[in-house]
Order: sequence, then C-alpha cells, then structure tokens
Amino acid sequence: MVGLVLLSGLSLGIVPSQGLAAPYTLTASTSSTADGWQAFDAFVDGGEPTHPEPRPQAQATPVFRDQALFIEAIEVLGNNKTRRQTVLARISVSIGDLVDEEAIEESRLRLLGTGFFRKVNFSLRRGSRRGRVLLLVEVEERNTILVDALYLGYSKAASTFGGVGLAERNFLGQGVTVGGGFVLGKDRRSLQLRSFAPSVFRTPLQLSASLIVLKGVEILDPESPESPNLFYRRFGGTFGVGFRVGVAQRISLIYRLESVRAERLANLDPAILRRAPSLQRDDSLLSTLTARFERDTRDDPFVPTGGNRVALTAEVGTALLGSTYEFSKYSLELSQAFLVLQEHSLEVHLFAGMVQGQTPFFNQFFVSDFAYFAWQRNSLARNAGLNFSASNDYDDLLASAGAIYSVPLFGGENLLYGLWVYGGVELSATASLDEAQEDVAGRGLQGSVPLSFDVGLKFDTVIGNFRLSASYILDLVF
Amino acid sequence: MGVRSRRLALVVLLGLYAHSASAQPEHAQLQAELRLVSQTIATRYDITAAFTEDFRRRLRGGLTSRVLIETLLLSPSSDVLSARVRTCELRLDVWDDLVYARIRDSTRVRRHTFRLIDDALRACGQVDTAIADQAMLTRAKGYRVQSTVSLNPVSEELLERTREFTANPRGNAGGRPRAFFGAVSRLFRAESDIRGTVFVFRSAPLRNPRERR
Repeated sequence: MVGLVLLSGLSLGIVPSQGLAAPYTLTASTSSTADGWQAFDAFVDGGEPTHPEPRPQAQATPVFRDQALFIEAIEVLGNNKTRRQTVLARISVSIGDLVDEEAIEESRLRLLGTGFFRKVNFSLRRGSRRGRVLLLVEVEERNTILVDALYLGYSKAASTFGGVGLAERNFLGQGVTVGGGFVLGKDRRSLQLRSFAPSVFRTPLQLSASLIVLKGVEILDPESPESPNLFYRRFGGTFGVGFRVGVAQRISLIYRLESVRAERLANLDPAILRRAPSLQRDDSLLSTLTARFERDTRDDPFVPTGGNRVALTAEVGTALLGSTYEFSKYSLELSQAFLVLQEHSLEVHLFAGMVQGQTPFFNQFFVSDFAYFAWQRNSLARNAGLNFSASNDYDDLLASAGAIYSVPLFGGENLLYGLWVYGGVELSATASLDEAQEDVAGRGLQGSVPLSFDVGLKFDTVIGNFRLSASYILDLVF
Repeated sequence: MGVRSRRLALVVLLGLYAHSASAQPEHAQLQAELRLVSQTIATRYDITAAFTEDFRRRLRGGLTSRVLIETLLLSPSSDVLSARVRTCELRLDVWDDLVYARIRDSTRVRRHTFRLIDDALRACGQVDTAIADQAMLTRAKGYRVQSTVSLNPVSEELLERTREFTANPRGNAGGRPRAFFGAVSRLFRAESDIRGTVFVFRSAPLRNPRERR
C-alpha cells in the first residue's frame, strides 16, 4: 500500500493529471466472476514500483493465504546426489499445510542459496481429490566439488613449492562441506582437513571441525643460510559451534587444541636468538577458545558490488584450558563494497589486530599475509600456515587498509562464468608489543609499513574462483 | 620497468577499461506507436515474446506468476517525460485448468479468466495505455517508448531473509593472494538466477502524433 501511494505521488509529480487516464479505455473483455476468484482475491496486494528508480522493486510474491488447497504430498525430483531430506530441510511448508506461496518462494530461494542446485522449480499437481495437491520440487544439481586453494610458487628460501585444496560442498548429498588441502616444499609440508555443517537438524546451529598436521621451518638468519634454523611441528585441530542469529549474522565459539614441538636452538648468537620467532622449545600445548561475531551482507564475496562484512574475533589461551601459552588475541575486519559505473566492483577494507601475552609465532600477524607487492620487501604470504620466505617478522599489532577495484571483461554461462581484471592497493603497519615496551634493541614500532600494489585477473569458473596475481610474480622477481 | 613498458601497461589497462565500459547491454527493439486519444498521448506495444519458457513453465505449475511492466516515454534527449506501470498476476488452477489473470494498470484493475495460457500472456503483454498529456510533447519527433519487463521479480526483503551466510566457512575473508595463481572458495548464489528475469525494450524514435495530424 505504501508503494502504491508513493507511485501515485510520483506519477502525479511527473505527469499532469488533467484527467489523463479517465477518458481512456481499453477494449479487452473482462470475464464474469468465476469460483476461482475467491482464491485470487486472497492475493496480498503488492506495492508498485516507484519512478524514477531505475529498476522496479517488487514486493513479495502474491500469496493465496486462504486458498483451500492442502499439500497432500511433497515430491522431490532431479536430486540424483542430494538426499531428499537435505532438500526437505530447507522447505518451509509441510504435508498437511495450506499452500502458502510466499513460503514456497522462500523455500526456492533457500534451496538456490545452498549452491547445490543450478535451478529449482516448485509446481502443483492435482491430488487425490479436489482441494488437495502434490507439491513437486524439481531441482537441477550442479557441481559442488571446488578447488578452493591452489598454491604454486618459488622462493629463495624454499625453492619450488605447491599444493592444492579441494572442497566438496555437498558431501554424500548431506549438505555438509568436507575439504582438505596440502602444501609441499623444501623442509615444509602441511595437511589440513575440515568439515562444516551449515544447519544441524533444521536449526540455526552450525558445526565445524578441522585438523592440521604441519612440519615447518623458520629461517633465523637470512644473511647466513648455514646457521641453524627453527624446525617445528604442529598437530591438532579445532571444533566449532556456530549460531545464525539473524540475517547473514553468525556467532561462533571455537575450541582449538594443538600439540607443538620445536627443536632446541643451541649455540646461537644471542642477538639472533632474541629475534627468533616466539615458540616454546620442545613440547608445548596450544589450547584456546575463540569467540567470533560475523555479519556478511555482501552480494558476492569474490567480486562484491554491494553490502559489507564485519568480523570481530577474540581468542584466549590460558592455563585453565591446559595451554602452555597464555595470551589473548583480538581482531576486527571491516569491508564495504560498492557498485561503480553500473558493473564495476569497489571494495574497501580494514583489518586491525592485537595480541597480548605470549602466543606462538604462527598465531601472530605476518605483514605479508596482508600486503601485496612492495618494493624490496622480499617476503611472501604464508601458504596453509607455512612460511616459504626468509622473513619472519611476526608481530603483535597490525593495522591494514586497502581497496580492490574489479572491472568485468567477460561473462559466460558454461565453464567460465566471469572474468575480471582487478587492481588493489594496501597500506599495512605492524609492530611488536614486547619489543616496543621491553626490548629497546628490537624493531619496536618501526616494524613494517609497506604500501603495496597488485594487478591481476579473477576467474569465476565451474570448479571455483581463481585469482592470477601479478604482485606475487613481482615479489618473486624483485 | 622502463618508460615504454609503463606506457604499454597503461594503454592495455585503458583498453580493458574501455572494453568494459562499452560492454553495456543494448536495449532490444520495441515495436511501439504513439497515438493521440482525446487530449492524451497513448502508446501501444506488445511484449508477449518476452515471456520465457521458464516463466511459462512456472505458470503451468499452478503457482502465481507475476509480471511487472514499466513503460517510460522518453524525450528526444532521453529524459523521462512520464511513466506508467502494469502488474500482471497469473495463476493456473490445476483443478479447473483455467488461468486467472489480474492486470493492474495505473488507474484500474481488470480480471480475466482464460482457458489458454497463451491468451492470458497476450492479455498481459499487449500494453495499450495513456502515457502523457499532449501538451507535454513539444517537439515534432524523436520520442521513444521504453519498456522494462520483470518476470517474477523477487523483493529485496525476501532476498535478505533467505540468504545463506556467504562467508567462506574457513573464515578467510580474502586478503592478498597466497600464490601467483590462487583460489578462494565461496558459496554459489547467482543473483541473476534468483532475482528473476528482466528485459528492457526501447522503440525507435517516434513522431509526435499531434504533429502528424
């Protein structure tokens, strides 16, 4: 009704209303009232779009609220892989319910939102007697096995390295994500497995679990390759419980338990030892609890053109949980997407984080994880938790802000859904709390402040989203 | 990187940008006419061909289908002179095999019952409406009629309510590339599949019917 009022108001403003429509009649015939009009009259009147908005905004799909059509049965067709229960779990109507078109439309959107299906169609068929109908749910499944990580690189510290990550987003047709990935390089290897259940028993409850087995090395003195390095191993995992608390919002609690083993560093220059990454020697235990709030209203996480993302995270490691490391870690992520020039994407983002206390170096902030190519910075982002560069400037404080601008080049419907060229800029700054406060010989607040850049291509394909980055190549060359 | 290389890179980027900017979809041709009826300008056109097979399939399925037709009268300089909106609600009764259609124009609502789906679609797609007062057309020619047809549009509110959490379950929001050829996962939700189909038609320049007299 409000929309109708708006329309009338705007129309009057645009078009002089001197009896414009009154003398004008159409010649189409109008039928006499039929029985079905009783149902038709139960439509919920939608408002009209308002001009001069460029695109009409629709109201909810019309509903037959009082229509005496009962759902006698629900039949699911086309689900060769997806279990029937997985489909039914996202349908808001049940057998015995009245046909509610709004609930059916909502169910269609929920099924499409899973990503398991290319198309979803609902339709009615005659039931066993008048007033009863069968609700048919016809789905067309799509590929749900994705390449979600792809690593291929070269560095002076580790020579050639590579790896891949795969995720099945509809494991055994249950609607559960199961994924894993590995990275291999000189003296370094990492294997990660994970699982995520987006909805447990048709509730807002979500479950996640992960496992990591990692063997890594940190170079302590880049000027002297022959000097001892820090070899370490990690084995453990996480278990998380999430709750959807509103539209595109989630609160998670994650427990993390890892066994860490690091070799002792004997006969090392004290100056180098002091700069060595933070890690207890021999065996230690990392046991933490993380609380996270996320809100993600972006229309697309890969090339967003609207919406925003907020993530607040706090992780605590304490002896009460059996942890060798006592610390707290806080982070804030913000991003806002804009539509520019009708189809370009601009995303600005901010990341800020702080670690208080002693945490393993792999849990600290590594500036190269956030920066693109910066002149003579000489470090690469970590891959699956492994550092393949000679730099190990892990810090307790991080602030990073930047923007990515993407321009579409191609849009398709088969193997390649979209191709974009993008450019990014990032300003990052890190520092160590310990060094700033206690160690005058450390880097202190002069940690690292790179202004970095990137250009490249983004691919949206049938097997996942990929990014070809020039900054990474430039990092290797310079 | 030398000056020549930088210039070359700049030219390539500008070329890509220009290609992107020129890649806007063109309007489909609309066969429309302007007529003078009493003191008003009326337009008549037919967009029945815009009803896709998917739309017809849904209609055959017994659930309500909705069509939104926005008609704009554009001046020779492409300014919007006036707008009219039609909504059509169509439903096939699976027991009676009758199509009920409610067609709402700016000032009135009409109801029809049809035995054939094609007849219902024709009633909705054949637009014949007053569009402007004749005094608003001051030029002799160059006017265009533009029609935007939305098939089963979905409201923003419903889209918001039904969206799944789009963040990567790994909690990785992106960040810098981890390799020169990297990958990120995301949930699929092709908005174009969900929001319904939209067609935009635009007529060739039309004469002011008052001048033709």
